[in-house]
Order: sequence, then structure tokens, then C-alpha cells
Amino acid sequence: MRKSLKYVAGSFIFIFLTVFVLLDRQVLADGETAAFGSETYEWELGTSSPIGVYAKSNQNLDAVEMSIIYDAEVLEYQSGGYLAEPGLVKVSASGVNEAEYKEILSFIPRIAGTSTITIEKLHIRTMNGEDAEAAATSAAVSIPIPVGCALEDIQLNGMSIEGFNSTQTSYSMEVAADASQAELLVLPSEMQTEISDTALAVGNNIITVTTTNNGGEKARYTLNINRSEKTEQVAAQNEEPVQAEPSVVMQGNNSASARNQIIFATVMVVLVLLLFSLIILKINLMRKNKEQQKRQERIKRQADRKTAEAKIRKPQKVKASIEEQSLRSERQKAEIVIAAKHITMEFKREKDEATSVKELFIRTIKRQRSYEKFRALKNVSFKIHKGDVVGIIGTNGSGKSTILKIISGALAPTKGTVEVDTRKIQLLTLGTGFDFELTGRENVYLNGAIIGYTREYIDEKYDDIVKFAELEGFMEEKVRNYSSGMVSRLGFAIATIRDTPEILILDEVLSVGDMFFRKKSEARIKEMIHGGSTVLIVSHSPSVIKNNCNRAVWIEKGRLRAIGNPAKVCEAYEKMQETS
Amino acid sequence: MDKAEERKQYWFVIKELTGREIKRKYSRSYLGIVWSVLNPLLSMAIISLIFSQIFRRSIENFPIYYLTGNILWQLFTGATNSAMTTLVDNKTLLIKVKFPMQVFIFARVYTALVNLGYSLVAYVVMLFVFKVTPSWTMIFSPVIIFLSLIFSLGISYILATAYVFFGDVKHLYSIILTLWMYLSAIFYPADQLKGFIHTAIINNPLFNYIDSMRKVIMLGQLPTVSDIVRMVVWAVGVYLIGHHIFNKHKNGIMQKI
Repeated sequence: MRKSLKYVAGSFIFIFLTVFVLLDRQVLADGETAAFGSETYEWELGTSSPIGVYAKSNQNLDAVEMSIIYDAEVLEYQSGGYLAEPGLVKVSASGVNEAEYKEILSFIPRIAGTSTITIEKLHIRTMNGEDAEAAATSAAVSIPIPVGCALEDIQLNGMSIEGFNSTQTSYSMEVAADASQAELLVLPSEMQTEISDTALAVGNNIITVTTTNNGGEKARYTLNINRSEKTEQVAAQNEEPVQAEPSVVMQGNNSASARNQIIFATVMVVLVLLLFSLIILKINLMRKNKEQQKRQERIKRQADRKTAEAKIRKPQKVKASIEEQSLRSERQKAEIVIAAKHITMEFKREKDEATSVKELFIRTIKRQRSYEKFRALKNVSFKIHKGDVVGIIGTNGSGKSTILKIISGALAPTKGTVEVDTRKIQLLTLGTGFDFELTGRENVYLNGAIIGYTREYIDEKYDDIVKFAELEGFMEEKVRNYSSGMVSRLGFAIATIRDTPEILILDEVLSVGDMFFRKKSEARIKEMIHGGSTVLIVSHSPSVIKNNCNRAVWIEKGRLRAIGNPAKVCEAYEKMQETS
Repeated sequence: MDKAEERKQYWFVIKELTGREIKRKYSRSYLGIVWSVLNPLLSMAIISLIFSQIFRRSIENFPIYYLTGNILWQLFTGATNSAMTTLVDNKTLLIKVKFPMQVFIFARVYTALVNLGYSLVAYVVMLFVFKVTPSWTMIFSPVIIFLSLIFSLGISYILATAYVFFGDVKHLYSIILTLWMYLSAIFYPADQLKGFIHTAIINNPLFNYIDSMRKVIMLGQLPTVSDIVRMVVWAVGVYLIGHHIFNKHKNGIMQKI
């Protein structure tokens, strides 16, 4: 049972940890973005132009690293970062401690036309130590064409380019699959031009036409020529233009994170289902075990009865007083319910004990902590049979309460053993365990729960308890307003309502209370003895013991002084009291 | 009684003890349990009134920031403060009870959890009022609450044991709690402090729980792996230490009481 519980708890923790850890990896690029100050820029040829690059996050940034790529032919890098190689500028910063980081880069346009600047890579570390990367982003730059650089027309394979306009520098067009070479004719023909490689591969091709005027200024026309493919489509995808890449990457990221979320949603659902099935399995197991245990207990109980009877029939060598032996013949068939064997209880008491941490500390340092062993009980042995009403008598501080605590299992003895089923014990001390701020009803449930009644049992017996305690009409009242008699009646009623509390321990209960209650409780105890209960009455009043008990145990200063007939034991006790 | 029945009875005892604590706490008040809901709301209102201006720039949505920290803090202090005195308070029940003494500590810690449940009602309402976007990461907040509960239970064990032997623990602990509260960054942003204090806050297990809770609820982020490891290690470690100390002194406690 306990094992299966451990498994369930263990798997529960494990599952959550794995989910935690797995999900933790997916937090990348959530809210991190790279951006330019604007999406498009218009710059002048030959003048230094600024462009702002931004790293943003929804958390404070610690370190930032950016790679910015640009066309080194068209633009000349001037300042703002670190030029790794022509066409690649790096920007890095640390200790930012803000949610946004900004850097201004400067470029000088050298060739008119259009170009793009791309933040290809943005790597950031947040203040929490998380690393993240953002998707790439681009900005378009257009530079007006200077006088003397403008073309009138470009003809491709003998055809004028559709919609050609001398101020527009970028064109896209398609050619047939069999056109492996682009034939360009540039007008006016006297213009000084430079045309890049005109061979056309399948897919996208970029051909540039660069013009130079008399002043040495340059402009560039860009043609994106797409040669349609007849053959395999796969090849085309490999040759997509550089500029298109960022958007492709971004799409990939989005779909990847969406996919991950779906995966983790399914993982979660599966884990939860797993957990539920584990729990159901456990409940089933519990039921089976319960039935089995019940069966076993029934068998065990029968066996126990037999062995117990057999044991008692055997002659026993117990050192005991004469009266004890004479009584035994009557009780030969009774079970031993409490067997205390050589109990010694030592309290380690500190001489003049430290009651504060400071004092304890000082004394420990000074080595002034001296202990004194106080023996509350010295080698006490006795046996109590089923159906006995045993009185424990002794002066105050003689060890009576200690022995009760040991029997009820609250204290473990220093030496010796007690054989008793602590679950069967019912301890009743006067007026204790009540919460005075609660009502009588609430106290019945609280105290009942503590002494081991189930809710159903209390529900069932509630009316009987109230009736016995004679508290009808007071139960919804706070116990604070009860008289002491009412409190003790209620306490007694709760403790004795069980049909056969197998062992009932009464600590100084019968010596207090009004006459009427005393009679009633004594009657109830007699009733219980007939029902087979064993009763232990602790008192320092001999009359209580003599009236109720059939055996008495006298404990004085931790030693067992006498055990046996109550009348004789009490006589000895009274004699001692008189002399002292 | 077989095991299952025993566990049921154990649970019944805890529930009865918890019921008593709650009834007792509000036994003379009109509004009763409603105070558990009102309390965090009112303290949120007051703290927000003053501090949300100061931390306007560094903390977004200050009321929720505070409330998230506060409910976890209340869980911890509620549990440890009341569990500390539980053994002494229940002296008379201690020898009667059929269960290990832990049941009293469990009951007080569970009371704090029930109280948290009521506070959560207010909390959820406030999440809507302040338009916190629901995020699937919120599913993990029970795990964080559970871990901080285990942590509180461990501390409770230690305190309850210590209090039986030394009454001063109560006074000492109230001072420690004040320090601890300031080191948990409940109503100010933790990154604004530098140096030694900052290190202390970052390594404070309670701040760890509170911070993770904020991430999960407010930012829609999951705690980092190191956060999780620390949370689990603190909870399990402190629980084991507390349990060990308590068990070792069990007999001593009974003798003393």
C-alpha cells in the first residue's frame, strides 16, 4: 500500500519535473525582436546616413549581439559597430539592463539604386540569464539616381522591360525555361555601363547594370530574372534569393513554435491521463487490499484467541504478592491486555534548566550544562487482565501520570516494554481537550476525531452522547459558557459512548464532579465492565479505588509498592500517609 | 482498523482540527471567513496606493505583482507561525490522540493552505480586473504552491520542536520574519538592489517561489531549470531536515510537555 503511494507520488513529481524541464527549452524567442528604426530609408549618394538598429525584449536585457549584413559594393560602412568583414557589421553590448537596446550605424551610399540591410542574427541574454535569438529582419534603402546616370531603357532578349522607368531601379521578370542566357541592350548606348554575368540558371537570377556618369557617380539597376523550371521543383528552392531568406526563417520559427505547443499540449494530456489511470489503479488496489486484510484479520483474531487461551493455561512464574495468586484462579481464562515489564523511566533533567536560547548558548560554551537523572519509574512490572478494574494509587508526583503516558504510548520508556494495543485505549482526563471557543457540537466532533471515532460513528452516536451528558439544548452554545460540571459530563460521555472501549483509562475523573454525575458515571463504568472493558482508574483518593476496583496498584516514588486486593492496598497506603 | 480506514480517520482528524482553527480565528468576527478574502485585497489596495507610484517604471501591473508575492508569503508565515506553537497549544490533546504528533503540525499547515484557497478567490478576481492575459503556464502554479507548502512544513517542524524547549523562539522568529519579508522582494523589484543584499534575495528560497509564481502568472514564462532545481531541493531538503529533527526529539517533547 505504502509502496504504491510512493510510486504514485514519485511519478507525479517526475512527470511535472520533466514537463517543466522540457517546456523550459521552448521559451526561446518569445517577445525578442530585432528591428530597424524604419522599414524604408531614402539616402543621398555620398552623404553619411544613419540607421538605427534595435534589440527588444519583454524582459530586461543583459547582453546583446547582432550581425548586420549589407551590400558592401553599394554602401560603405562608416561607424556604429565593428566591421567584421566587408558586408558584415557586428554590434555587441553587455550590462544593458533595459528592455530595449539601440545602436546607430552610419553608412555612405556609393552606388545609387536600391539595397537592403538585414539584421541577420540577434542573440540576447536577459537579466535572468536566459538566452534567446530573434528572427531576422530587413530594411530597404533607396538612393536617388544622380544626373547623368539614368538609363532610358533596358531591353531583355530584344524586348523592352515592362514598365521601365528611369527612376525605378529594381525589376522582376520571368523568362522561359530554355533561355540560358540573358541578352541585354542598354539605352542610351553611349552611357558607360557595366553589366554583370548574364548567364541564367534555373530559378532566380540577379543581373545588375551599373552606370557611371562623368562625375564618377554610380547608379545600379537590378533585374531579378526568374527562369521557370521544367524539371524538378526541388532545385529551385535551394536557390532562393538571399533577400527572401529572412521571411522564410521567420515562417519556420512560427510554425516550429506552434508545432511545439501542439506537441506539448499532447504530452501534457497524455501525462495527465497517465496520472489519472495510476490513481484509479491505486484505488482499486486499495479496495482489494482492504478486503484481503479484513479476511486475514478475521482469521488472525480467531487464532489469537486460541493462543491466548493456551498461554494463560500455562503456569507462570511471576513474582507477585500472595493476594495476586489467589485472585488469579478466578481470572485464569482472561486475556492479558496490558503487560508492563520492568519499566524504568528516566528523565534527563538539567539542573536549573535553561529556558532561553541565550542561556543555553552561554552555558554550552561555558560547559556548565550538568544533567541530573531523575527516575520517575524504577523497574515497575505488572499485568492487567481483560475485565479488570484496576486502581492506580499514589501520592502526587509518584509517577502515576508517567505510567499512564507510557501505557497509552505517548512516552517511550527508557527501559522495559509495555505490551498493549494502544489503539484500543481510551484516555479520559477531566475537562481537557475542549476548545472553549467552539460549540458543544463542534467539540464532540473534534474530540471524537482525536480519540479515533469516524465521522459516521459520531453522526450515529451524537444523540446518545448529548442525552447521556444531559446537555440537550446546550450543544450549539460555546463551551466557554458551560459550567465545569457540564464540561466533564460531556467529556465523559464522549469517551464512554463506544459500546466496548476495550481499555478505558480514567485520570482523576471520578474524584471530581457533583454527586449525581459521580453515581451516573460509576454506573456506566460498571456497565462497561460487564461489556468486557478493562478499566484503569488513576486517583490519589483511596475511597474511589475501594468503591470501583477489583485490583489496586500502589506506586510510590517510582517504585511498585503493592499490588493486589484494593482494600488491603489502600489500607497500606493510608497507613503510610498517616505516618508521613 | 486497516490502513485505508486509518488514513481516512487521519484525514478526518486533520479536517476537524483545521475546522477548529478557522472557526476559532474568526469566532468573534461578523464577517468570519470573508476576512480571508478581504485581507489580501485590502493590503493590496494600501500597498499599491503608495508603492505603485514609486515603482511605476520598473514594475508593470504593481497590484498583481504585490498580490502574487503576498499570498505566497501569507501561506508561509501563516503555516510556520501557527505550527510553531501547535504542540504547546494542544498539550492536553497530545496524549489522547491516537496518531503521531505530526497531525497537529499538519493541521496548522493545512489551515494555512485552506486560507490560501480563500485568498485565491480574491486573487483570481483581481487577475481579471487587472487584465492579466491568461497563459497556459498558469497550470504550473499549483506545483509552485505545493513546493512552497512542503518547504513551510519543513520549517514548521523545526520551529515547533524548538518552541517546546525555548519560548524565545517565538519572539526571535518574529524578528527573523521581518528580515525575511524584506528579503523576499514582495513589494519592490528585486533587481533594484545591488551587492550583498541582491545576492541574499536571489538565494532566498521564498523569493525563488514568489519569483517563479510571478513568471508563471504574469509573464507567461516558465521558471528556468535552475529555478526549478532550487525550488525542489529547498523544499525536499528542509522537509527532510525538519522531519529528522522532529523525530529525534519526539520523546523529549512528550517529556517536556
